Amino acid sequence: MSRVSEEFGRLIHDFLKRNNMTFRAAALKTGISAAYWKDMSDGRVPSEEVIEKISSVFCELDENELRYAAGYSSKAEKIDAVKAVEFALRGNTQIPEEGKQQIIDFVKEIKERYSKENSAN
Amino acid sequence: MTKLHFEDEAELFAYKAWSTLKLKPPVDLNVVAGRLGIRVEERQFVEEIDGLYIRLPGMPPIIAINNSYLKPLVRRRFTLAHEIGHHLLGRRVSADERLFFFDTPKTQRTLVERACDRFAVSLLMPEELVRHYYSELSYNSENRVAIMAERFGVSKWALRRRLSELGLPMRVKRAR
Repeated sequence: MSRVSEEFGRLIHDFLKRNNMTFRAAALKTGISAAYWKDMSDGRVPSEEVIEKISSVFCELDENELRYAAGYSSKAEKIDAVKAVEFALRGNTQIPEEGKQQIIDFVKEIKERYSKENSAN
Repeated sequence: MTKLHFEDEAELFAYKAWSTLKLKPPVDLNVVAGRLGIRVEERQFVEEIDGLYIRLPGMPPIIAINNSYLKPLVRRRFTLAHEIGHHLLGRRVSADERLFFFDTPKTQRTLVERACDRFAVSLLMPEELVRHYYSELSYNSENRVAIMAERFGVSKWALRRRLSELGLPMRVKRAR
């Protein structure tokens, strides 16, 4: 029996809706059947290979976000620095939400600053 | 064995810092961080955050210290030394990998956290110097803790703990 994740289904459903894309259109682009796309939008958790495939075809679908929603661990090399910090903070119960946001803002700021410094050099 | 290994390594790092950088008390932690290529930033965070260490590929390692008025200077110094410990102990992790440590007053005392505390204590209050001052100030045992804490730039509480772990009594009873 396949696993179900409401969060995963919502990500797929919202993506298709946002892009006004039918299951059939998504199937044609990815080689994954329209029926399977429907199941995924209903929350069926696919294999890790399927997640990799659909996120490689549709850049808008972040692989790690899908993996997280599906209950798989994140692929470290795929995570953007800010997202990596967000992930690292998710399970932290000692820092309140305000503090987590301060840390995320701080990382965003230093990332921007160093990318500017690098492009100036 | 692992516990000893981590904490021994931390003490060794502190000893090396003193010998190679020719440090003097109170230790200038920005000099230590600078020599290690770490950027230190001060920022006001919520009270629950003491400091953080972040290492991301393609960027210099960064330590951010909470400079809120709720964190006294001596506390910030200890946090900075602790975060430098994270950098040194994290060097065994591949440089391509990201490292994050978010330190709070309630951070679980894992092996690594304890080793970082050990590094901070050894860097801020090296044993040899603690013993030296302790004996130098033997004529003034009443004020010794305050004077030594000031010299090392640490809290009296941290100094007392250091004296205790080195087996040095706070006050010596005078013979009648």
